[in-house]
Amino acid sequence: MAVTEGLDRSDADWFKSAVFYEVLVRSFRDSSGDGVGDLKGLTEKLDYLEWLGIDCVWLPPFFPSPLKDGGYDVADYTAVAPDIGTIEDFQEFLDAAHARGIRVIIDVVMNHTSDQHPWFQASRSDPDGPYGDFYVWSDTDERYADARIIFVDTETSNWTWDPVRQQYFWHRFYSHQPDLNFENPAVHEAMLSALDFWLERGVDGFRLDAVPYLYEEEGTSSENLARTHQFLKKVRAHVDSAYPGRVLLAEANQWPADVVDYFGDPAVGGDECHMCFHFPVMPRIFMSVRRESRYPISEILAQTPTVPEHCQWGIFLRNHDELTLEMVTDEDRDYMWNEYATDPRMKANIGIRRRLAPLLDNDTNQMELFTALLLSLPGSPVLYYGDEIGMGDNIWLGDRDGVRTPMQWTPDRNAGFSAATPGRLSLPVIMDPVFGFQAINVEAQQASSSSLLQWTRRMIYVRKQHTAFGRGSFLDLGGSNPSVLSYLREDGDDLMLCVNNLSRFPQPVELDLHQFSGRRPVENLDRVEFPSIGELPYLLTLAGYGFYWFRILDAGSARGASE
Amino acid sequence: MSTWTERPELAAYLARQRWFAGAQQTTVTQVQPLAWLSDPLSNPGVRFEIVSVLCGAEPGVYNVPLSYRTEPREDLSYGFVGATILEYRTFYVYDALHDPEARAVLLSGFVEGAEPPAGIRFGRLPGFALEAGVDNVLLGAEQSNTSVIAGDALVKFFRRLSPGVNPDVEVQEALTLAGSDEISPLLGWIRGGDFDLAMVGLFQRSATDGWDTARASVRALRDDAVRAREAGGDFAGEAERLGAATLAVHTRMRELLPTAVWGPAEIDALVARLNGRLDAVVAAHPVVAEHAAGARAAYDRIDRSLPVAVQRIHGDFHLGQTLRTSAGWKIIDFEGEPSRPLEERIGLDSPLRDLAGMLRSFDYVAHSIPALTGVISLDPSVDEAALADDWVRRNQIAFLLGYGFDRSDAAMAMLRAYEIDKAVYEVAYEVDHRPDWMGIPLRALKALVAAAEGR
Repeated sequence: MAVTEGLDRSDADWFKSAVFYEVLVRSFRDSSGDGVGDLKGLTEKLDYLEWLGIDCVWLPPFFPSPLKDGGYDVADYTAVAPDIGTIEDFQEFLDAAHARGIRVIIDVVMNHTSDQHPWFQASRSDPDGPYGDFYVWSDTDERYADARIIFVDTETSNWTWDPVRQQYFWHRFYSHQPDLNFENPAVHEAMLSALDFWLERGVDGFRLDAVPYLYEEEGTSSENLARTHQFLKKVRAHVDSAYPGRVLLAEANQWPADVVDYFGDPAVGGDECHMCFHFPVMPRIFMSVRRESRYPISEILAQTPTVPEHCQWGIFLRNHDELTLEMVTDEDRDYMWNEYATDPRMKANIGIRRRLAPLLDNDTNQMELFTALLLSLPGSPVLYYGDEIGMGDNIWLGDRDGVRTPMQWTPDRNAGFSAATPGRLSLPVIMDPVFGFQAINVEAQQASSSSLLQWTRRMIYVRKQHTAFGRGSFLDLGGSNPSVLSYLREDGDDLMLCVNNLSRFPQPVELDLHQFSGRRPVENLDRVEFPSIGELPYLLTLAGYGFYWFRILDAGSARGASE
Repeated sequence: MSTWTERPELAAYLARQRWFAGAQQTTVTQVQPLAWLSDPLSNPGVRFEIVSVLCGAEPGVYNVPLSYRTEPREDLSYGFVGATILEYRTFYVYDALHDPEARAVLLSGFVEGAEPPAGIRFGRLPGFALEAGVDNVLLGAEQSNTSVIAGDALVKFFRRLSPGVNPDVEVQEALTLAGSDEISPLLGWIRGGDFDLAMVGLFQRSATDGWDTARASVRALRDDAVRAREAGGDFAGEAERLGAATLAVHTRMRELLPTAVWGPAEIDALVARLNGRLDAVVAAHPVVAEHAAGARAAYDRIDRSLPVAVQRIHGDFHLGQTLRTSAGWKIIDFEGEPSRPLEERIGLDSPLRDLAGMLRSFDYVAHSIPALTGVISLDPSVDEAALADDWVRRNQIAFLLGYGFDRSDAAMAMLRAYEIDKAVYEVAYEVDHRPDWMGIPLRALKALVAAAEGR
């Protein structure tokens, strides 16, 4: 049975202070030498993730799939794609992760399946059979006309004609991904039993893909409907009662004021999803640095509602998807439009699929600043594999594959990813002179104490010493300089002051800290004591893209007893 | 009652303060103390005192709250005014705003249920009260006021007084009660005798003023050495939103405060005023003379046949009078040009005067950085002045676009005239105070006159 002794199951709020790491199994480590990363390979690399300080690994879909949508087109919810392993391999990986104290969450696509899923095949060929009502079928393509089309580049309607059943089926995404029919209680049962299959094996939670779209209703946008929330409450109640301490993380690419609804009722500390991704904060970080102005970040955080007590945001800089502006309110779209539309460089960077390092011109100072923001803003950080070493991308690969190239472990053949003939790799390794694996790889950076990897690891460890980051309150301090973003994170005695220079130039800033008069800030990476805070504004100077994490010591604790 | 008229200490104290306007020999001619806010023996005893002075021949009235202590206090020596005798007792007297306990007494009238003494009124707008014993802190030195932060409130004690309602209090109260989002809301005020002594607003913790915000953009532009539209620090989105905020405030002021329409006679009077100011500047500053004919011609192009809607305006509108906060732009300080007499500051005028002020401010901010730092580009082919001009143009247009400015010939002629008037004033100011900066308005004056002539 599942090994869980490495985990502290008593802390139901573990996710609030966890550092997450998104890893694509096919691109991380190929143990079999067939050119495709696999679960056994991932297990081999758990020591690395433990060394880096990762608390929770997020695996995007690894299920059998025709792979027309990066595996999000699932053909079987309770199996492993044969090219990456078996259920036994998964169990071995999960147990090995738990033994190291690392949790694992996996993706579940609730809204739709692949058209290759046996449910859909049965539904289209046998309308009166047990799966006949599993999907949303209609004789007309005119229902739910107020629902927008999300993938406007490839789809012209949310309905597609099925020549087999001689009816239209409903799909909010691609036409090869029919939406499940949540009006049908049997679909609820099928979905819950799929979750149970993985929970029973010890999985620590799920990222729920595309949750706003489960139900449809005439005359509405068919997004964020009350019955969608009811179903999520049902899932949560089920998971809580049978498998306490597991987490539900919602992908709802909506405005924060709408996303908070997916946490559920604040009066009971949240009764839907434990976590939701905060989408707008990421483009705002890019915009703030481009504009050298704290306001894009300050504004979005000022407009972000407080989350219920047992809930947390998930924040990220990059992930396997592109950075998207599609699902924000009109007001915000206007704001972003004003700022982006006239700036060809920003449009190009934000709209396409790039990794962090090439987006930031491979500038170590900026990469460190971005990572410092990710690790100190409210929410649990989700790192994307490879960004910790500053990996590049391959813009010549199609779709989103450019940011899914193999992890660069060593300067050896295939970057140490696989022993296969290079031509057999499912995606080629990066080979350009700047970002190629000879220059950028884990082995070299582990050997160098000044590398981005070592720096990132140290920052993760500092973060973990402070509950203020994961569980504390957030207060934007403003200050005299528009290019400097300063904030307090506070959890009981743990009080952290973060000061970030968003500008390429050195900057001074004066902060009103008089409420801490007599206390002393200690720079927290190198433990350097700074002058005591007084009544007057506190003056700090920062190098270009520089930042500080200070701990504000209690009055009287600044010096040891023997000094 | 007061001994300060016979003794030199208070006059000497005033002369050391940044908010005190007089540079010449100062004598205190009269001190009118208001009622005690706390008992004089309670340590400290605190009261407002209205101090009339003569600086040379120039009279002035100042608001000087004082704190009376029976023992000297070493830690307050920065604000020590002098010792005095009241009712046969010796008191050590301090500037109350530099005495934390005295500041708390000054603010105590804003606590729910407080009963201030007769003759002093603590106005509280709906929803505002200070908590009893709230922590307060003095902000750094300012030109004409002394400000204290208490909780979320920023209390601005006016130092130089004019009788009657302070226009800043009047305008902000009207806008706050109407629910304007584009100002920092007024929370309250202190009135004593014939004077507004202090006003209370929301402390905008997250704010930076528009001048510093714009300078960050100009700095980035100079480093990139590209057209403003391509620069990472592009400011046009901000300028456009500032224009929209300005329009919202002007609209509210038109709805809430007096308005009028100027016909040919009033427009003639306006042109006469503009010419009068120009004459005075030319007489004292010959450097303006070569542009005087062009400026007069531009004033003459104001169309007398079209009525001009006038209203209360900001009156001293520039980037330093705006705050960028996490909730957008806020416009502050509605007291008008402080060096002008009160009736002029509250007089009706075209809102285009405010727009002209902001357009000049964009020009100033862009050219102030080279004025301070000199040319920094390593590439001699880069024309920094041209890049700055491009930034100015782009942001002026974006600001006017956000305002929804109507570009009719009549409106353009009026706007140009106000811009020229402002530039003329700026040249005079810089010649007197900062000769290094004179080139900024002079260059603008030349360009404005040329543009007005269609050259």
